[in-house]
Amino acid sequence: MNVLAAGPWSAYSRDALAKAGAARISLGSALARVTHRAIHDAATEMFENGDFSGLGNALPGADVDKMMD
Amino acid sequence: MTRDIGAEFRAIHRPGDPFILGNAWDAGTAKMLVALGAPAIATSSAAHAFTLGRKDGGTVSRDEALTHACDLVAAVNVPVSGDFENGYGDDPDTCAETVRLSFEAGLAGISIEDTNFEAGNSYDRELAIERIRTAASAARACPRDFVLVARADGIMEGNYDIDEAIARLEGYAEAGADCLYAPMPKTMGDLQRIVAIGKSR
Repeated sequence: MNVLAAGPWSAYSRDALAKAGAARISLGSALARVTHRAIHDAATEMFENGDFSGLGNALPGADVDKMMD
Repeated sequence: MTRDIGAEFRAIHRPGDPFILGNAWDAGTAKMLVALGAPAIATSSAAHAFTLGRKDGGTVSRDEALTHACDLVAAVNVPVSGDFENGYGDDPDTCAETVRLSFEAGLAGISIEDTNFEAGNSYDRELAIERIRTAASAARACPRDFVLVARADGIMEGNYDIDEAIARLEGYAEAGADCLYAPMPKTMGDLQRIVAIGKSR
């Protein structure tokens, strides 16, 4: 059984879904939409308020590089 | 010995001890998720559609989805599963063809849902089950293992209730689906009813 950990179901931990009997937990588009949230919020601040501080939270390029092996 | 990626994928499906399937949307996100611990990767039809500047739900062709899935297969060394909407056709034989093409593309499995995008509703239960039966038969005919996930999307889509979802999932199980999936049940009690259908699926 697959359980989608999105929307209200994101409130449940892996342990809770394990107890319910799940064999796998998928994310659907939820993780992608978390990045869309980051884009949306940072871009809104930039274009509406001229505030670039949201970009200060970026994952360093060197950290991303390490995961591209 | 030829690697049986489908068998590797099947082996990590353990009821009560779930793995986290990392739905990625490009080679870089697939690599990130594997580096951070994902034992398997899947596409996401919605996330993929968004990368193409399109809306979710029947806007991506089978060729596009397969090409995208191949990009993820080439990027990582873990099983990759395709989130392949309704199998890219109404006809059960089209679902079977999608299974064969997915196996040939190096995927470890795919999911097929019961949403009829053109009609804006769910396939009738009988047709939905027949589509899974034909797809499962194609999966069993593959030279190596292949994990077919049968989805009942009508709760999430607002097309039917939990009782209809249960009836469909029972039909899918009997038709040979390897794993069952009804996105977004309304309560934990509903989820437990779903899980009870097939403890091993």
